Amino acid sequence: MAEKRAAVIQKNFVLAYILLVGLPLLGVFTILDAGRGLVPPPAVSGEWDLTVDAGAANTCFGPLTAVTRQILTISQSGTAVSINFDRPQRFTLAGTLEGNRLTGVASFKAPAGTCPEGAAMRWTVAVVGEPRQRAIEGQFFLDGCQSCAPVAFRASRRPLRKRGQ
Amino acid sequence: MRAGRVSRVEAATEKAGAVMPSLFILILQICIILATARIVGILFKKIRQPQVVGEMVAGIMLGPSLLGWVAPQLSNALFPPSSLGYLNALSQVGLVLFMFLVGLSLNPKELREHGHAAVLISHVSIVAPFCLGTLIALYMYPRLSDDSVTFTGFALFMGAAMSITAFPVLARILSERNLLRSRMGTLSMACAAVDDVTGWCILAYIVLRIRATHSSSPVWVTVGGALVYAFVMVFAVKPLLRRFETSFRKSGRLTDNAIALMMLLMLGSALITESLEIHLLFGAFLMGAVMPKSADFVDDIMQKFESVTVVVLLPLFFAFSGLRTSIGVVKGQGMWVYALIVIVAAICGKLGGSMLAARLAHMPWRDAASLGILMNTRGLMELVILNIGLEIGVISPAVFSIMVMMALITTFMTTPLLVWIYPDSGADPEPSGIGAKDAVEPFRA
Repeated sequence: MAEKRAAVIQKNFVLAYILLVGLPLLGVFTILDAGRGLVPPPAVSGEWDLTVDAGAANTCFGPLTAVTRQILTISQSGTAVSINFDRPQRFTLAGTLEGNRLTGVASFKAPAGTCPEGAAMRWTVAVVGEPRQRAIEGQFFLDGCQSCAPVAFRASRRPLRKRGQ
Repeated sequence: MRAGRVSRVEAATEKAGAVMPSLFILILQICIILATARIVGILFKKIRQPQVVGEMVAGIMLGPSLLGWVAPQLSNALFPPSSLGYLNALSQVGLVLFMFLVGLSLNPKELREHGHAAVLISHVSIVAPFCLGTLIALYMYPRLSDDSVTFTGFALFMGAAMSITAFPVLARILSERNLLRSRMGTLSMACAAVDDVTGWCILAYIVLRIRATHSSSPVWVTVGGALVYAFVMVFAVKPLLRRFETSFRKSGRLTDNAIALMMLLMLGSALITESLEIHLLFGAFLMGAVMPKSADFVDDIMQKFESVTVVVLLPLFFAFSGLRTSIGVVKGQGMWVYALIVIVAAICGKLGGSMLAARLAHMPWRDAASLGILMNTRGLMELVILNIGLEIGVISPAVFSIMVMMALITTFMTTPLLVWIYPDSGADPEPSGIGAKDAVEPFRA
């Protein structure tokens, strides 16, 4: 009788184990396989050497173009990106990645008299290259402002520090 | 008023900085962190939460989520980015010690004594949240990750982070509720121990995979080295460590020389796993896990290391984690939806999975629900795992912040739910008889 009961308990345990452990484990492998085809945004986080076109260092874009060469720090969470400038003062630009295109609106206002009232300052960037040799190329521009020509800039990624160290 | 205070702090730090650039600011930081951790911890105790939950919240309060948001200048003066390296180094030393103590608290004997039920519950409590973690990774990977991380790495990390149980916090809650020696208490402790060991093994694999892609040495060297090291620890070092217990039995306590040797072994083990490109915490944890497990011996070591680790060094780790946590990153409806999905998946997987398994193991509903609630406690161990994830770049700052919120919520909900389901647990419970005499009083984390 006791042996019969032990056998039933053993059988129930095996069934429960297959149902609650085996099947979800199978699910994990299926998910890992299904996820291989997913395409995440390009990685842009880290330090970048920025060069702003020197000839275009005008006053329209305020601190964005005031320093022609500097190191940027980009932090990224998926498609949300923030670009941190250190010079001439600390400020951050927030942007969004769509495919390889990074766009954003800066909160600066053009100097009085240079542009129509409320002209938004935008920037757009193309992310090019492989993750380890990535570069960005883009421009700052003011919506509907003829007197301020867009300013081009480019940046190359500084060598990545060894992960986890 | 605030600006005046800020300028005074800045002036003081600048003045001191001229003499001792880092030491002054480091000691100031330690004072502020310890004071905040104690105050918030005590306040949390008053609302019947484990003190450690308050200390975790205190860490977040000192970071960009509160202090940096309310008083950015003060925050920058107290925690300038250039000074954080020292704070990190100290907090890592604390974590190494803490992981050694966590390993030391594990007792595989307890799991064996609970038979089939413990095997089923512990395995389900890992697999169910792990499965849900990888499932939500399908949704989050294209939105919150980037192409420097593979889907497999991201999904495995999410799974591991979902399936962890905060063994030390759980022990503390059980102890405070007088449930530590009950059948449910010993069972949940045994299951949590299995969860932690499994979670750490998965994490070691992820760290190894990610570091291997950036390493000059072939991956098989790292994997082979890790396996050989674990084998040596279990089959060669573990028998030798019994001499510590022999010496303890002879003199009734651990001598200073024995303690120093133990520390050297722990640090050596941490260095070996770090040089194997896993992580130094694994080495410390492994050294603790292979130590002798008799209750009085473990108790003696705990007494010697507990206070300095839990009271002084762990709050530094909480503060360092808090400085990396920015709830402000979780902005916009989309981000809050991700946060909600993570929290719901974490609770359903861990609480639901453990409860269902316990029920199938013929536990009464009330006990099964309590077990599920206890297993859902993630607390401190989750923070440790998340910091490693952020450090190796497998998760982004936003995922880190979302997961920290999840860790806090799942830990915070444990005591109220337990009190609701088990209102009479303040009274002395019926001892299990199994493992009760061997049960080690948990440390205070």
